[in-house]
Amino acid sequence: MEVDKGKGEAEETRKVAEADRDTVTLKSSDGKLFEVSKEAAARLSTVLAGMIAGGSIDDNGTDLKQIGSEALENVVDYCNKHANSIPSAALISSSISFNTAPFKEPEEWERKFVDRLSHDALFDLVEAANFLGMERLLDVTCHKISEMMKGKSPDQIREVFNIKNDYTKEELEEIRQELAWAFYDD
Amino acid sequence: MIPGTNPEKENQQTHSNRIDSIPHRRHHPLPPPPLMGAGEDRISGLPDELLHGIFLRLGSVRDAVRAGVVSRRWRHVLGRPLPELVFEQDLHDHEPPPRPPRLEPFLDSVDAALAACDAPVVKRLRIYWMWCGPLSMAAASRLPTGRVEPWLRFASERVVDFLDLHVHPPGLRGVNGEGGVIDLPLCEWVKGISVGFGTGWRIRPPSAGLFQALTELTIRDGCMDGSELTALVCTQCPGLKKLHLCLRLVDAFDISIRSDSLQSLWFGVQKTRRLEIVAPELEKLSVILAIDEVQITAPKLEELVWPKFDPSCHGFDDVGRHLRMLEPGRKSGSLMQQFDEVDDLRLTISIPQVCLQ
Repeated sequence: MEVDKGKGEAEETRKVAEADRDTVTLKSSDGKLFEVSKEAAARLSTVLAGMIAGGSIDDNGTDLKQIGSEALENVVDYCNKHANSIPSAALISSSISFNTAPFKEPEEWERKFVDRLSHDALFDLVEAANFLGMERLLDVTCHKISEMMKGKSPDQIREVFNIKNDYTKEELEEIRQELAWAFYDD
Repeated sequence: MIPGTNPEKENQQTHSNRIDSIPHRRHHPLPPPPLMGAGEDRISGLPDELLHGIFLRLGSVRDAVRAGVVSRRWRHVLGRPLPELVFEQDLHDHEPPPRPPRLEPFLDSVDAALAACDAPVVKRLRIYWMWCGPLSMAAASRLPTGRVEPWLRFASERVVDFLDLHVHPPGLRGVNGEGGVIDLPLCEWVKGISVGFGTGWRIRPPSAGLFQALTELTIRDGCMDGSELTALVCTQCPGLKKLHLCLRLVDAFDISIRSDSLQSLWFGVQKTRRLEIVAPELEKLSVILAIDEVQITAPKLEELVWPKFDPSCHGFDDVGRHLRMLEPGRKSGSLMQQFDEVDDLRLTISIPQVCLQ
């Protein structure tokens, strides 16, 4: 029901809303501004949560000099999508640390979110997630990278990730003898 | 158009959080799938911890080991030497404790340690709990199958060399019908498996797939289906060299051990009706229990232990005439007639007490 308010009263409401904004503004290394849900940012990023709690968020754009605009855009997209999706119980409890199984499987939308990224964008996003302390986004992106390795021989993995084989001939022969099966292609 | 795949709608949603004053910057119109890098090695720029986390997420011994071969740093991150996880509590040799030993705290500590384990590849997993005290004390130590399943899953995903699971709560010793069904997972790259959970437990091998690297298999104190046992040994373990079977069949059944790789066999399978062994490389054989009918083809046989040999129903199709070691039982002396020459003959002689007086 529409309530008739006086002009002054409406002005007051607007001011309060501004002071208690539900978004924060983040600035990428190349100076672009992005707005993200405060609740989602605090929930998904330990670094942003600390900044929000400590009052070190700048209304004109908090500088994140280590993160380029494309990666930051993906971070912000991820946070806002997360804010809009119904968070499942599995995502809320993040007491399990990054390097301890069992891992939470990415949800369908998270899978799609990382699947559309280019190779470089994916790694930019991993680095951004790591910098911002975003456990869940790290989980999702690292899961994606691990999928890129699955079922591949060492040569195929090197090709996918452009990794230089830095073993000496002797070392390689030693490993080949120890783990002959690891070298076969599927 | 398939609902939910409208690229324009996707784009709008993606850009809805953009502040209006910022000039519109386009996404990659159609980003290339991240199958190949553009030329730069991005993954090596990640800190060790993340690389380690990626290896863990592979959830496969094979993939983790292959990843570990990629470069020196990856090998280092994977962990050298590979860790071994050993959990042991052997109450067998001790005096019976004043209170029944409790299995629960042991299981809890194993589970906690496995949950905290952050090694993508583990060389060996050994979980060993043994207590053979009075059955009256058994109530305190039940082992539900639900406690064993996560160990087996862990093994199939991470263990590369040896899996050794023996948990014998006293209550499950010799009590038929107790225990549960254990589905042995396919551990493709494990070299040795040794399992035992008490006589009431049924061990069920995977219905398909090969234990490609398996050379040693021990199944102790469980029961198995006869056809599943035959299939496991004859077709699912192509490289098996050493087999130790001390178990019972679910129903009386004919067992066939046909293996081109088998070198050593210890056969103690209760309820075997007929045993057929065709093993061209077999060197050591122990047939422990009385079996109605046995036929053996093992041309390279060198050591034989067969306490219940019965010439009327047990025979050799192809076995050499010379043995390095022979150990017949007290009543199976006729086994010696099968061979011309034995280097080391081990006889058990029974002297009735009456003769000594």
